[in-house]
Formats: sequence, structure tokens, C-alpha cells
Amino acid sequence: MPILSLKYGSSNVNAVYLDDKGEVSSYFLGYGYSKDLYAHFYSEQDFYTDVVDHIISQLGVSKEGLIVIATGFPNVPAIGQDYASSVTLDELFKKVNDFEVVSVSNGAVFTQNNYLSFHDGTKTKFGNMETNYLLNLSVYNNAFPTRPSDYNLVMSNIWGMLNSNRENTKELMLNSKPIVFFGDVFYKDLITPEFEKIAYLYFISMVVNPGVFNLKIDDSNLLPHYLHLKNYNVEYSKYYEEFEPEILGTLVNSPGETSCLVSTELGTSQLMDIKKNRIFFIPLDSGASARLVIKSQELGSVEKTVKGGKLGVIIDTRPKHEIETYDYNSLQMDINNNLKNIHEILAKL
Amino acid sequence: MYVPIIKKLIYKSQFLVERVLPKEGQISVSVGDQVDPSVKLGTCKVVYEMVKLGSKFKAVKQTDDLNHYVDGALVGTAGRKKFFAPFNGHLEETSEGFVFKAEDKDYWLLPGVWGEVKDISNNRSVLVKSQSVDIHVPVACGEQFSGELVVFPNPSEMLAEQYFHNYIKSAAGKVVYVGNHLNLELIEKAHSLKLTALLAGSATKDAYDYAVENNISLGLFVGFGKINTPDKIYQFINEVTNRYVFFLVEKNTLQIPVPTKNEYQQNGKPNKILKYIRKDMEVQVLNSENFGQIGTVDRATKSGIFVKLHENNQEVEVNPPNLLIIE
Repeated sequence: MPILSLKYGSSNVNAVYLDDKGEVSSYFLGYGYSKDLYAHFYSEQDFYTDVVDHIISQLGVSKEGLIVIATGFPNVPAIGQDYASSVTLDELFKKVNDFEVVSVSNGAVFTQNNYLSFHDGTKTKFGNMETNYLLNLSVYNNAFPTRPSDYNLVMSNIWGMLNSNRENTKELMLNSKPIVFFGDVFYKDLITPEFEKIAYLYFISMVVNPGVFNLKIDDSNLLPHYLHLKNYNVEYSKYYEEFEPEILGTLVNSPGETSCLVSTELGTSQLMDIKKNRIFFIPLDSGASARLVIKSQELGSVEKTVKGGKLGVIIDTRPKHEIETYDYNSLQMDINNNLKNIHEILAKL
Repeated sequence: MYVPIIKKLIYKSQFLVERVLPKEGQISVSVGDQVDPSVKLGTCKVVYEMVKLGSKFKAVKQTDDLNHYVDGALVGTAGRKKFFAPFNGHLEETSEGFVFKAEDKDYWLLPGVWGEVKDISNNRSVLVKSQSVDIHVPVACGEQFSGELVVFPNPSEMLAEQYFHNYIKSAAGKVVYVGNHLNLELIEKAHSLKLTALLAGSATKDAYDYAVENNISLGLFVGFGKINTPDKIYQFINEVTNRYVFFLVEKNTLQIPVPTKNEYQQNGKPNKILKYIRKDMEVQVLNSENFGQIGTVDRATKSGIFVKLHENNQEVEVNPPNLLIIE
């Protein structure tokens, strides 16, 4: 039976369609309902009814016998017909056991453990132009930055929200499971390679707890669809099981001076002493693994075999968890200083 | 490429307005009557002015029992201070002391809209079914407000202050469109003149925050920063014949009553929210460089949509989701 899975974001709608033969096709529309923009002439239900009709038509799908399931955040909007299954995104994530999901949107960040919105705590103070732009984005929710500086602004606003809720941020990403980043600010059809590099640096900066983390990314936003399909009917679980988010790399959060011995599968070894406040990239592609021996005051002595990824192994010695010392200005300096490094590492791997 | 439509001006064929007398009086229309903004719906007597004189006030004895005083007559004394009638009126003793009240005057209830009387209640209120053009106000704060619309002709910020002084004789019941931009200085000036409802194309964040803090109803036709009011909106509010308008903050709408027959009658709810983008469509551009500006699609190709901005005739390339079709 053909099935259409819908995911409603705060500023977009995306869909995955499985036909009778199990072939997958998808559709993305970069617009979501906003009361400020449409309520004076169009209801939320009318809006999404039109959008779903449009998606069905664009996918060339017959409505007859079509099963429609939907997830969304903060709610799953009505479309004038019943969904075969409807569950909010946060509820859906609670069913994930094999990794930690971090959904990053311009307005909220949530995982299985916690949820933070822009209404929580103080935000970073920006200049007039930046403030105006961010305020306009909250009204025109579909708008997406076209300049790297504005994308950086959006990401730093999210980071600022996380930073002002530091205790909650720690709870957000506590698990030792792989962390998968995805969300409205990180969709492949919207971001440029330049934006991608900025996003990676922010993802690294959002994980603040000392430790060793395996970071992954889903820029296709397929994860919620496959998860929902699996939960709706076990017959569809193969899509989830076969789905592998892209590996970003292994992040070693070791605030302060750190020494690291890296031994590769080829038998080469290298000892590195990394000063405090650095982000150090060790090229290691996603198919390879390496043995790390890390020594620092914060972590003590840790030995671990880790896998590589798009960014290889990242040794981060910044005191990101110390709110008194690590602030917005420190972050901006780190972003600017490391864009070139991230560019080089992406070119190498 | 499909893009949603935003209705900047939309015709609404039905809205109900309740017009209420300050106290019970006489209603002079019947259910089913057609009315226009200047028709008298009803009348009652009201006191427009009064002066509180306190409990220690000593009144001059009157020759009659009516306690009526003509303008300028000595009414009495409060300590050593004499009080002369500031207008024709009478003295009343209340639980809080003496009060000098002006003579009752006629209060005429006007509909302020074109429409049909649907209901009358207790010689006090009249319900009128009317039609309107609703203008989209994407940013709005404060409380719902209705009153007389005053439109400044998009003056520079310096001139706007002058306009306040020269054209706002009384702030009561006014909704003032101050121009393309509203800044902190201007809103402070408006507040000092006791204006409580303002409209502009855009505003600075501090001006918006000031409006929120001081309970000023503020509506922005575009957003934050320095973005001009779309011509379509400015031309409409500048030319409306009926100046009594309703600022519906919760609905992001400035509702302007119109006669039954008007050129906007065709501009109703669209059949579908998404339209295929085509040449000559009017769009609002939302990319970082030209945020909020209105333009016309010059070319729509697979590689991109090229828009000529109305403000400076510059051509810019813009792609979904950074544009909206304006109707």
C-alpha cells in the first residue's frame, strides 16, 4: 500500500513517499504556516490542506488508497482528513534508543532528554541590524539566510539560547550514544557549502560536556520519516535500519591542555600536545579507525578506539562548559579562526 | 516553483460592528435599514466636561433651586479661592464633594461604516453588518483600537515630529500612520502627545519595545529595521474616504470599512495558498540583502527568479523560500 509520510517543521514541510514497490521519493517545501502572515485571510488547516494536496500532486501520487502519516513540532496540523498515524516529533524521538537526536531550529532545540525554546532565558545581545534581521525571521518564518554572516547570526542566536540555559544544555546531550544533528536550519536544499562549515563548528560548540562523542548529521531530514514509518508499521522498519546518518567525526571535549597519542590502523603513531582554547582537527576518514590515548586534567587518562568522519577526529580544548569564561565573543573568535581549518580538513577527506 | 500568496489587502464581505451610546437614549434606525458612515443611529444626552471641587467648597446662594450657572458666573469659594463657572453648567453635591458639571449636550451615535442594521439592543446599541478592506499588519502589539485614521504623507523622521505638532490637535480616538519608519524618538513624542495607536512601515526594536512597555497599540506593515511601506498599502490608506478604522491587533489586521460597491470587491480569499511563480507577479523579497522589499518578477527560470525592486529598480535574484507572492 502506498504511504506518504509528512513532517511539519516550524518553517517548512517535507514528505517521503513509498510506492507499492517500496521505491522512495521525497519533496520539500520551504514554507510553513505563520499566524502573523496568513491568519488574516487563511486558516492553518486550509493552509496545510493546500500544501499536502500540492505535495501529492507534485509527487504524482493518486490520493485513492493513500495512507498518510504525519509528525511535526510543536503540533501536527489538521488537514481536513484523518492521518493513519500522527505523533509530535518530540514524542517520536523518545522512541529512539540507538542514538541521541538533536533537532536544531531557529526557535527551539530539543532531544529525547530536553527541550529548549527561545522563550527560555536571556539571549545574546546583537547590534541593531542583526537584531532587526532576527526579529524579521521570527515573523517571516520561511525566510532563510543568504549570506554566511546571517547564517552565522542565526546559529549564534541558537547557541546563545543554549548557552543561557547551560544546565539544561548539559542535560540535552548527556548520552554516550552517537549524537545526530538535524533540523530546519540544516537542510541540504537550503544550505550552501559555506553555511555547512559554519554549522559544523556550531554543532561542535553545542556539545559542552567533557568526554568523547561520536557526531553524525542528517541534512536530508529523512530520520523522522523513517522513524515514524517504523513506529507505524514494523514492515517499514528496514528503511530505518538501513538509514545511516553521515558521520561528522569523533569529538574529544577535553577542556584545558591536552596530550593525545593517535595510533592508526597502518601502525603510525603521533603524539600531540594541544594547548587550551583550541579546536584541533586530525584527518581520519569515516572508513578508518584510530586508537586514542588522551591525557588531560579534566578527563584524566582515556583510551579509546574511535572512527573518523567528514571532520576526522576533533580535539576541542575550549572550556565550553564554563559560562563565566566562554562567552559569545570567544565563540565568534573560534568560529572565525577555524573556518579555514574546517575547509582544509573537508578538502582532505 | 510554487510560492505562497500573502494578501496585503483583502476584501471581507461581512463584518459586524456594534455601535454603543454612552448611556441609554433613543435609537432612530430600525432593523434592516441601510446606513452610511454619517447616518445618525441614535442620540442621548451626555455631560462632556466637569470640574471636581471637593467637600470644603462653599457655593454662592442661587435665586432658584436649579443650581444653574452661566459661563463666568461666580459659583463659590474653596478657601480663599473663588471659582467662576468655566462653562454653562450646574453644581452637584456627591459623596466625594461638589462637582461642577457642564450642561447636557446631545451625543449622536454614528455607524462609521456602510452597511445594514442587524439588531438593536435596549435603546443603547446598534449592530451593523458591514464590509471592509482588511490590511495585513504582520507585526502588531497592544490592544485592539478603533478610531479616526490620520495619515502622514511618508515624511522624513525629522518632519514627522513637526507633523505631530501641526496636525494632531487632539490625540483622543486617533490612529496615526507616522510614515515609513518609526524610531524611539518619534514614539516617545507620540506618547507625550497621548497618542495610543500608531502605524508605520517598519520600526526599530527599541521603538517596538517602548510601545509594548507603554501599552501603545502599534502596527507595522512590513517588519523591523528601515523598510518602506508597500505602495499598495500606502495608497489605499491615503485615499480611504471613511476614516473610522479598526485596528485588530490579535488578527494582524487594520480593518477599513468600505461601501458595498468598491474596486476591491474582487480581492477576496484565494482558491489555493500556493501559486506557480510567473513573470509580472508582485513579490516580497526576503533575502538578507533586500529584506521586505516589494518588486515585480522580471524572469522566472529554473536557475532562479529575477525580481525588479520597486524602490530602486535594481534587479535581484531570489529563490524560494525567500519570497512571497503579494496580492
